[in-house]
Amino acid sequence: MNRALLRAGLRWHGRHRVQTLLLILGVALGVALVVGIDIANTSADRAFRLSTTSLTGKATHRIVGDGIGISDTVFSFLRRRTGFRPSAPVVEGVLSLEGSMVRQLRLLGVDPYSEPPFRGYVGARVDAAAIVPFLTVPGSIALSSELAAELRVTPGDTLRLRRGVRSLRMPVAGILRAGDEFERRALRGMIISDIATAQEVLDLPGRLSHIDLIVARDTAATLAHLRTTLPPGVRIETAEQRSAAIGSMTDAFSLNLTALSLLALLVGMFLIYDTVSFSVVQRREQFGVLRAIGASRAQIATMVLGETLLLSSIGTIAGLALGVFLGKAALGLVTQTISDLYFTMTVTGIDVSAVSLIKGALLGLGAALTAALLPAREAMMASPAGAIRRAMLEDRIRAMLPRITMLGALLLLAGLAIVLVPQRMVALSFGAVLLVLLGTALLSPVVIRMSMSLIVRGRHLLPGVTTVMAARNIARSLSRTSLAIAALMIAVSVIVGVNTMIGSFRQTVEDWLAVTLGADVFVSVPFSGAGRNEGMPMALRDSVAAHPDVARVITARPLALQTARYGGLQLVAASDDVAKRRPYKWQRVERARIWPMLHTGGVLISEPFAWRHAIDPARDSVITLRTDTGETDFLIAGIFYDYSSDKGTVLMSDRVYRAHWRDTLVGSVAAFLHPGANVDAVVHELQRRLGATSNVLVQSNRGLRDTALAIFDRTFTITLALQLLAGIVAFIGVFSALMALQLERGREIATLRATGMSRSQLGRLILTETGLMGAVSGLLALPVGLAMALMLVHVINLRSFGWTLQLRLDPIDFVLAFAVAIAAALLAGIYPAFRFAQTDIRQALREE
Amino acid sequence: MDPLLHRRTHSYSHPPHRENSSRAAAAAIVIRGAVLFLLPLLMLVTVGCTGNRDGETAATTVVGERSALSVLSTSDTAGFARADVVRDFRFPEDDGPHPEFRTEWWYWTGNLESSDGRRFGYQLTFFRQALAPGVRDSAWRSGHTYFANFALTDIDGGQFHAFERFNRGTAGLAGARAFPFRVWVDDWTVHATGANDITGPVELRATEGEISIALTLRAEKPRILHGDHGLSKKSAASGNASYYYSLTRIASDGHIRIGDRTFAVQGTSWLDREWSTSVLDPAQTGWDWFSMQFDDGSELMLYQLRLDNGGIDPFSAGSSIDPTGKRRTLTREEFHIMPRGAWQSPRSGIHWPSGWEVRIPALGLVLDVEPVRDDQELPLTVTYWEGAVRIRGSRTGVGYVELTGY
Repeated sequence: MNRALLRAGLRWHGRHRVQTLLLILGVALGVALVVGIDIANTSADRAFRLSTTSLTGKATHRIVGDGIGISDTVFSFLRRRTGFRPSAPVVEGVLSLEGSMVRQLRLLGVDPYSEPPFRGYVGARVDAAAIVPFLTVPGSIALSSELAAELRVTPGDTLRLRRGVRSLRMPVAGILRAGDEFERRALRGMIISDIATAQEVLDLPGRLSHIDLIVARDTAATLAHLRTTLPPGVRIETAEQRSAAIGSMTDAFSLNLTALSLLALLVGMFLIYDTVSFSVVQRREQFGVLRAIGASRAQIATMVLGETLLLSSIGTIAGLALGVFLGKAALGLVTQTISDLYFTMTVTGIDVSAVSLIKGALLGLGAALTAALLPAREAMMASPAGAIRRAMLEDRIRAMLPRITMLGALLLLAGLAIVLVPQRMVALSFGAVLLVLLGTALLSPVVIRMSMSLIVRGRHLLPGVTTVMAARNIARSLSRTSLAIAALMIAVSVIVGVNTMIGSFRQTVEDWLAVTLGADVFVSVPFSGAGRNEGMPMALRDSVAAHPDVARVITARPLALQTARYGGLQLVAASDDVAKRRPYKWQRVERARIWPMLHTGGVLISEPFAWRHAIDPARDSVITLRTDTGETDFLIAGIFYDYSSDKGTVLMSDRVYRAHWRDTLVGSVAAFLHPGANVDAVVHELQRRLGATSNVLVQSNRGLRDTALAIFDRTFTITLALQLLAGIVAFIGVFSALMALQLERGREIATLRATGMSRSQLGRLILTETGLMGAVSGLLALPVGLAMALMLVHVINLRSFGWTLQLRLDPIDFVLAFAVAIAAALLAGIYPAFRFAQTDIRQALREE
Repeated sequence: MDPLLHRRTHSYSHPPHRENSSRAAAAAIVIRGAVLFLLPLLMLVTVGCTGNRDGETAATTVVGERSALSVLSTSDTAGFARADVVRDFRFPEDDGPHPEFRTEWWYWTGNLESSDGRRFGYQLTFFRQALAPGVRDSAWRSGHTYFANFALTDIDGGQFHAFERFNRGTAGLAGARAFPFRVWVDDWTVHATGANDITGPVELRATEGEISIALTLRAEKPRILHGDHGLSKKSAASGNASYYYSLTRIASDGHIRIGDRTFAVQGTSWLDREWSTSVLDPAQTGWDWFSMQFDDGSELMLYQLRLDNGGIDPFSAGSSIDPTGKRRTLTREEFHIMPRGAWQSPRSGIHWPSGWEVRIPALGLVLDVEPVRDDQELPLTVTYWEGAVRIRGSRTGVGYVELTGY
């Protein structure tokens, strides 16, 4: 490239620092957003896989049950009666570090006698000196040197942990030495104990979580032999099936994230395109001059592209760094949500993959160069005699308008059509939402032109000329104004859509909680993550019932189970009639007879459960679960609305549950008080009395509702955060676009000033222009946002999770979104207005 | 028979007194060593190595690991019962485990022959090793490790197979019971099918891969108490001794399966029962143990403890049992064991003696003891040689020899 030209280009940028900075910032933010979400997504995914596979080790198969694990006699049976050898029993669960609700450690209870072929870090790398206490001292654990350093313990010390309502003191017997990076990371969130300790600590006497197997030879024959000889109540599945089962639980969630990152990509590309094309368009005059002094067309084009490449490289590099930072912040939210909802992830740590970075870099540079291409072509055309008229560009846009509009309408219709077709592919539904957004964006130029001409036509109704002038200016610069308006429209409509969806969801859950939570006081295990199946001893129920103000108690045992037929599900065993007040989607018998039916082996299934497994009660009368007593059919008594688990809930009577599964714990106790009792006093007293010996949580009805909603809100933190980020990026994009749009009108403005326009009139003109643009974006965003909300509430959620949500439209959301659009646009006008007010008119005109 | 004393074992045991020691003492060390190694390191080996004689197994290398040293030096005898007085043996109670002692074993060996004349030697041994004294057992927690060695010498097939198993003495996985008699690790077991004690009939079962043995055992002589009424002293110091008795002649019949061939076999087995807490003297480098079952209905048991100065420990001893079951003690001075050949293992590189001349002038015996094959080395967690032998000379018969510490 011609050095002199490059220097000329850079000098222009030196003189227009604000625009240059905006260009770099635009690229950087766009890249950062995409890279950040991508890193958070892939890191979470990898951490998730590591969390599951580090538990699996080299096992090819495992023996599991549909309940909380399997009876431990299955293992001695396996060893003594089947002649099968490579097998290792495992008892696992999650413990919380005492004093920290956040830090969770996975306890892996293993049998050192059986381990070595399975998990290298267990068998081969326990200190020899640690083995005897590890096996013989109750509560002994081993942990990695890294974790030991983090928790500041050494062998001989005691680690303070919590499980359910119990506090634990666990002596550190030894240190595990990780063999490789994989093990090192796996062990960062894991402690190992002997199986005896794990059974005691996790309240699983006589139970195993599963038995790992290595079936290396004659797989089919061996498995067939084992399947026929093993006792009922267990089944054999492949290790992959297990990981896949847990993996599929989080699919819907990661799809949500992917959709958000696509949105980020879209907004990011808008942003980059905007800023780059403006910076080029602004310099037509400079190109004219350069052409006049002998620069060839190719040289000009090369200069434009070279500059863009240089500046967008700076932006891209900054964006990558920012993206990694952003990814780290987002990862915490992502893993928290997964732990809350699906599976306690003990492996964390960020994975900055080259793929994420390359993706981001390609996006940054690619979008920038693409954005520069059209203006570069334009620059080539610039005649040496003078700058190309902007009108030419606008003429071209105007000519293209019918086609753009047509395309927009097509995309919009296609998106709506896909949404309306009943299908279960969530990705397709998300695609439809994106199509609708894109289609609307393409329709924005024609809408802008129509609305502006409306203003012009109605000019006699308006006081003064400023508004009409502003409208005409906007319509005249359609090529740029429409881009800025579309970007702002997308950002605002996403805010409206997502807020409405979350609001609807929250309201639905709140209403549902009000109907479902009938009792006055709830005693439960503090929530510390999904699928932990923590419980408290039955004796606690009696202590609650013994309180003089308590009229009756109901116990519930919610369990996260992995089943052969239905994958992950939530089983709730309730000790007394909880069926009366529930809203039902379908019921087999009248309300009063549902509970008696449950007492004799019937079950209620939740709406997501029925949806997920395509259960039609008219056709499918039972669900089949493998209990400790073998395969058992349960009559479906009804389908109830439930928002406590997206995996689906099966509700049964406690009596039926205990008859089929070996379990002595309860998850929560709900107490109904005598009329007139002081709820808060009872809560306080129970907390004082029970809290002395265990970590129970005693809450009033109100308190429990608040807790449930707090978890709900935590779940959507990541969604809100990402949406906010996308909004910020869009705002910056709009801001820089609008500002550039104004700044390039220096001469025109100077002429206006010279012909008598006052500074304040000028300021008003500029702010009216940007305000109008904001208003158009806002107005466009409202129906689009509503459409998006409808799609999210009635299509995406139903298809992702099987949840029926009541749409709740909050006018405030819409008013606020409209206000945000106008405020963003007005803000973008302030600096140019201020600048022009300061401009030396003579100077500006002399440049002509 | 006992587990073998590995040649390096002696270097890391430090009993307070230099004492004479018995097979039991030596065995205790080895077993403990084995248990301590086994958990962290060697189970890799035990699972990976099915004892086929091809190739070096990791066991030999790993046994030398010093990682267990620290454990050995800290595990003293405190908290365990000692074999310090002559005991009033009670049967069948004493056939079962004695968890208050650190180490214990049930040690079957035997020579068998199929109806068409194919000869076999077998060994099935169960060890109990306490990890620590006073551990409160729960459903899965156990203060005891049980482990078992299973070897089969296919004399005419020219093969030797050896395997081992480990498990905790709880959760139904491994254990022992006096009556009806039962000892087991996983599905390796010797158990009474009816209300019988260890003298039988009891069923002996072990299967590993293609090799399997199933025998019915009936003792033909009562239990023989060795040493001083069953107290087998290893030194002058009180407590450094084991309780030791044997069933010296057990009629055995059943089946041996090798691959898809099954042999109906019968023959004679020998059971050693021993429990103790004490440890081996550092000066003792290993031992040679002999059991002989003669065609005339008599038996002989001899052991000699070798010292690091090349001598034989004066506490070496033996028992001579006549056809009626009457026993006579043999002292160190009364027998002479002279190796007549050697065989070097291609796996471990160890030079094992191979073939002996045994002279017992007081009984007028000159015996020629010859291994049925050279290679009966067990390449397991602890490498040792334990093999079937043929005896000729003043009397003829069969027997088993165990060599450790070479």
